[in-house]
Amino acid sequence: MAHCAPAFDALGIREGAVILVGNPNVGKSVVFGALTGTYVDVSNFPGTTVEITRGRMGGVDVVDTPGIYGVSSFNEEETVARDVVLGASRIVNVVDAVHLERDLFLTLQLADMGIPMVVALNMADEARREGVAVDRDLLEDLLGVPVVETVAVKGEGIERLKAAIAHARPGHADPELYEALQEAAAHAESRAEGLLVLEGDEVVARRNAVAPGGLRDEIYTRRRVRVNDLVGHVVRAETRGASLKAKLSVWMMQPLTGIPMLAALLFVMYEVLGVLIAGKVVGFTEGFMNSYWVPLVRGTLAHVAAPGGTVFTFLAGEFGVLTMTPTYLIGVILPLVTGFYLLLSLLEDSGYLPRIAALADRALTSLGLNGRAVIPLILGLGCVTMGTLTTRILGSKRERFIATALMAIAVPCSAQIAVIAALMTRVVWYDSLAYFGILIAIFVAVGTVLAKITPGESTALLIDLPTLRLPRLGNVARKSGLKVWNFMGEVAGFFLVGALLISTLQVTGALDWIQVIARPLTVGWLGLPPQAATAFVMGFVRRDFGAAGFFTMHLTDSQLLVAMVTITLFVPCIASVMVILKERGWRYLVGLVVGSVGLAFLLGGIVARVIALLGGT
Amino acid sequence: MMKPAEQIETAVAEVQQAICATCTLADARAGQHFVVTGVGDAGARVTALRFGMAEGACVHCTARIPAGPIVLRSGRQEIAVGRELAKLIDVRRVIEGT
Repeated sequence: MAHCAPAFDALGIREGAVILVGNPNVGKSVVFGALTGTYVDVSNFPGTTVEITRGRMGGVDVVDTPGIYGVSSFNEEETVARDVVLGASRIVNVVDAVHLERDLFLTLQLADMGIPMVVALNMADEARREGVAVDRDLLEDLLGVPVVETVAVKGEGIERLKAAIAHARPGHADPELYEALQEAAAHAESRAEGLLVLEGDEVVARRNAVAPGGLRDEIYTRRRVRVNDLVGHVVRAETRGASLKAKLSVWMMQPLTGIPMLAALLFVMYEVLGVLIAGKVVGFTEGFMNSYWVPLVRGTLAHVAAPGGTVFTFLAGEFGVLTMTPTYLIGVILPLVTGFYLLLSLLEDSGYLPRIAALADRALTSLGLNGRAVIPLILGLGCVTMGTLTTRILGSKRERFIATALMAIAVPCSAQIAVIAALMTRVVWYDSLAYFGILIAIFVAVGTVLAKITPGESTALLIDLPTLRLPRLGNVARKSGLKVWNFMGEVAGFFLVGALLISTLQVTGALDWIQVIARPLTVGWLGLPPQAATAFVMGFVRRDFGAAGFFTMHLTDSQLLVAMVTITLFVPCIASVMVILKERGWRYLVGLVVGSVGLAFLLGGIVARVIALLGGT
Repeated sequence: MMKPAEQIETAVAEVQQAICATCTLADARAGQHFVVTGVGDAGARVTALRFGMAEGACVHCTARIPAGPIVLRSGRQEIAVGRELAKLIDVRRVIEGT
């Protein structure tokens, strides 16, 4: 088949590569891991934030694509998967044996596209446990492609799947559609592209210089009928009473039971990330870097550059690229991000996240979002940078706009929470309570205002609730390992820039100058010591770093509350600023920075005034 | 006084409301079964077709979150539908045993 495959060229994928395609949560990445072994390469698909994972199976490239429910252009994941699929010469379609009604819809679309494929009937063990019997032989006959039963997490069926790939062939297409396709294909690059054009895919139509067809509803409806017919023939399912899983699923979504469960989850996340990792582990790793790495670099460098000189300051000063950058990257970020991604992968694999989305849908609707936004918001509690990247799962520009601003302004990241928690041990209990009260009020207020003023329409929630299951630790470790590696690679550059920026301020004396300039604001308005300005500048680099700046100052209880509120609302760190710039553009960024700095100082000052009125210390 | 025709119309509407013969998904209560008769939102239609919950599909409401989403099950597939979207999905109630 003569394929026009820009996606393949861009990624450097070789001809004959095996492409893995499947719905989300079907164990596709586990099948990928079982086929390819340990060495894989994760890269962003050109021009997007969607990850493409590649590995080798013998002498053949294997490419994993994002989980999708169908091939079209409804979101970024689909666009990426579509382009990789359009270049494919053979596909392994991974389906969840328990959810064939849903998964075969994509399978039949791939069959209609005419690309040679093999179906991996995954989670065969779970299907048997659930009382779902799938007639593999009949499914193979009806689809017209090899169907292999697999239990990828146990490595079962993988060798048979590898052998079957050699026998990949195009599946039985919808006969009437096939006629129409023969004609459409004459105008398009291939039958696959012809199908997408008929289904009204505007991007593919434009690429082929034809008008998009208007047959999507008809084709999809016919396909649905065929899927239901197939399932009716090959699946024999016992109906069972409401299981514990089904009850648990409902409890997670009903406010009365769901809110306490969510509170418990957030508490555990805080204990693990804020107390254990940000406190104990980071205390150790950062201490290690500060007492071994930094002296080593400074000692070595002292032979070449004079300590205190410009070169020395840039390389090994307080904010040096060889001292502060690795100390923060390895000593602080790495443990936090590792812990965070481990927890997140556990959450993802368990199927709990979409249920939190259903629980929170009502509350988030009044902030112009829908339940889906809890996913980036929870991520934002770990790290605002990751949260911002994840806003791409939201359905509209308006929602991405609101969610990004909410996170940047009112969601403290785990590292910052840890430092603030340490600061809080110094203040009386009602000041801590006031801090959380103010933060929640700001979150709701900012969301409500943004919901009013942000143009556009928000989408409604429509989310798949995958089966609840106990996550497999091996899979969790593998997945989070890959994500950590990717994330670290991405932030390293941001940190370097941040360090250079602050060092420049230091070397040129701008830092002292800022302290003087900011005096009316810090001392006059907020009632803090003049050194507070340095803490705010440091807050630009990292939020917790800024909060930590207050640690060494001798502040009264009231000053601490003012400082904590102001630094929390203050601009996000350099890394998030860079990501926001990349995702939302510079206009948005400028608005956000001006807005959050203004809001931070305005509220900090108001809090200081209110305390003074109440006769605080 | 209402005319007889109006009275009949009102009565029919009341009965329909009571058995939910024609209503939207937003009226669904946990435990009820429905046949989907129309999806009024183009984007949601595509998703509904992919999940097997479009026109003609039999769905079971497993939970109704107060002022929040309606949770539907069809076979072993479960989805949560936001309340606003649920208002755009027409369903016909199926009484168990009929």
